[in-house]
Amino acid sequence: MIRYALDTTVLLRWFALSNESDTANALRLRQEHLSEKIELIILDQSLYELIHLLKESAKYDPELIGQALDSLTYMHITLVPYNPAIAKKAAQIAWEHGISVFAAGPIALGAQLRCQAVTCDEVVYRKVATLPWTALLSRLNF
Amino acid sequence: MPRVNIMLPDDILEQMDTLAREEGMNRSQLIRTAFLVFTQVRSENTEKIQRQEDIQRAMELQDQLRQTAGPWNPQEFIREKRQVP
Repeated sequence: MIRYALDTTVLLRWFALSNESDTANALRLRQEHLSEKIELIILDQSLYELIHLLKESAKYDPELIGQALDSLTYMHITLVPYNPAIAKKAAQIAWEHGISVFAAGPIALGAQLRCQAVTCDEVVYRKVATLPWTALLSRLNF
Repeated sequence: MPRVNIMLPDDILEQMDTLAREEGMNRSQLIRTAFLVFTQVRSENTEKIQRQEDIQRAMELQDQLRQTAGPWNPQEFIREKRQVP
């Protein structure tokens, strides 16, 4: 089974009504996960970042945020708790490539688990494209 | 260990004895092993069905939430919040 370390930008697509092609791909990832063709993995940090983004979007009140978190519990996604090695790698990637630590976290997770780290953020991807395990969702073959 | 009597058709008993011989087991060992394998497979199937029902439920909930929240551009939003230069 192919494993993907997901950035929060991918998770966010599950909760944002948008016509972007990324949204269609993000929804397809869920379907492939349901079919057990792929395994989705996230850092626990991503949940807090997602909560923050949903709150700040002004589209989600506490009730809706609670439902969003419930849905993620039901998704059977592998959740990786704080790990010093991943955190240090994230800091290193963020520093070397000039990206946010929040964006670097899932990339470090991919490095640690030797799986592809998937983001929807083209700006971040351009900065880390030299790291061979990184992938842009719109170009992901799955 | 309690002793039990069970009734089996001749053809199944013959297959059981052949299998037991091949596996180096007696009938009791074979039946115990078969039972353990059956419960393991049953448990895995139950978990798999539960997983699929959970994920379906999650996806339906997320689809409802997307509609409730209405349109917004998540990419611009997250980039701004992450303060990527």
